[in-house]
Amino acid sequence: MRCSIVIAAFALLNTFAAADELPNVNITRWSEGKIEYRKASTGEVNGSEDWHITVHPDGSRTLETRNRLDVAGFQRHVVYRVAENFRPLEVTSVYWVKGEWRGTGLFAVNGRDLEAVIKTPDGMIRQSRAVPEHFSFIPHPLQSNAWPAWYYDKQKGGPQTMTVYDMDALAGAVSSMLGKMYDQTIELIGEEEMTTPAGTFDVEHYRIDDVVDLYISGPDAVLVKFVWSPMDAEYVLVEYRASGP
Amino acid sequence: MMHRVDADFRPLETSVTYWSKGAFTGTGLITVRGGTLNAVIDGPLGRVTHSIPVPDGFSIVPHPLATDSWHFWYFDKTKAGEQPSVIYNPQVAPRTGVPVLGNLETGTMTYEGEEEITVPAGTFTTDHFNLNGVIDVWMTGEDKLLVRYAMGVADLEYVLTDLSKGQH
Repeated sequence: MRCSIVIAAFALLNTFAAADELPNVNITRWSEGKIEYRKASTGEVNGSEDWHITVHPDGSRTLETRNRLDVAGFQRHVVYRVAENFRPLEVTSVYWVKGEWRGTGLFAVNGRDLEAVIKTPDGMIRQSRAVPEHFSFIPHPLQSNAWPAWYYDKQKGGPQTMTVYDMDALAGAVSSMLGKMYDQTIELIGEEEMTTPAGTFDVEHYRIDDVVDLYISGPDAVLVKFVWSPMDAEYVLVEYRASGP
Repeated sequence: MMHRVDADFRPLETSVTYWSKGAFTGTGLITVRGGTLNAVIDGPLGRVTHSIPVPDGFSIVPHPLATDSWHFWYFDKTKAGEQPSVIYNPQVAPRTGVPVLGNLETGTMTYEGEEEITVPAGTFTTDHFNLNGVIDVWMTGEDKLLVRYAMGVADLEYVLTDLSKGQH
C-alpha cells in the first residue's frame, strides 16, 4: 500500500514536471526574481519584492509583484503590463499601509487617454486624463522603476526628460492611489558589469535627477540594483531565474 | 490575477488579465460593495462596464484553481443535503459577448465530509465539497487552501504539490 502511494506521488510529480515544460502559446519567455530592500549604509534588510515577468506573443510584458517595506508598514500587490516598447498598458494594484487596506485600482491606457477606477475605503474614485506618448507608470514595485527609461535616446545621450505618472505610495487622503504626472531628468552613465547575490549581469547604468542610480539588464529591463542615496536606500536583485533562451 | 475576500471569504475585489490562444482578451477590475457587483473591463473592444445585484452568499470564479476552494464559505454544515450556490463567472471563452465580463450562475453544492488525503505537498485533514454533482474539492485550514480538485467527467485533477507558510 505504502509503495503504491509513493509510486502515485512520483507519477503526479512527473506529470506536473512535464506540464511545466509544455509550451504555452501565450508565453514567449518568462523570468522571476527577488529584490531585497536595504538600508544602504548598514546593509540592513527592511523589505523585499518578489516579481515575475511574462513576455507575450505580441511583445507586451506582464509584471506581477508582491512587495513589502516592513520598516514603513507598506505591502502591495501589483500587476503591470507594458507594450513591446515598454509604454504602459494597464496596472492593477492593491495597497495596504500600516495594517489598513487603502485601495484596489485599475489604471488603463488607451492611446493618449488614461482611465483609472479605484475602490477605496470611502467609495469609488474615477479619473480620466490625457497622457503623452512618452511616459511611464510608477506603481511602486521596484522592478517597475526599471522601465521608465524606454524612450531614452541613447544616440543623443546626456540628460533627457522623462515623464512619470507616480501613484500615491501611501494611498492617503481622498485621492487614494491616484497618481501625479511630473518630469524627471534621466541620463545614461554607461554600460557596466555588476555582480549581486543573483549573479553577474551586463547592465545599463542610468542616473535620475542626480539622486537615483538605476542599473538594468537585458531585453526585459530587469532591475539589478537601484540606489537612492538621499534616502540611504538600495534595492538589490538577490534571486533570478528565467526560461531558456 | 488578484482576488481579495473578507474574513468570511465573501468577495471584495478581483483583478484579472486574460490571454487566450496567443491573444490578449482583457484586463478587468471586479469590485463588490454590499449587494452590488461592478465590473470594469479594458480589452480589445475598449472599456466595458456593468453593475449587477449579488446576493450575500456568492463567490467569484476568476479561474485560478486556488480560488475554487473559496466557493463554499456560506455552506451551512448544520443542514444536510444539497444547498444552492451562486457564482459570478468571468468569461474566458466569452458567452456574454465580452471577454472577462461575467454572469451569475446558480448551482448546487454538497458537503461530503472531513477526509485525510495525501498529495505531493503532504498529508492534510480536509473538508470535501462537491459542486453541481461534477466537481470535487478538498480544502484545508483556516485559509481554505485547495489540496485537490477533481472533475471526473473531464478526466481532470489539480493537486497541491508545494506549500510553504509564513507568519509575517
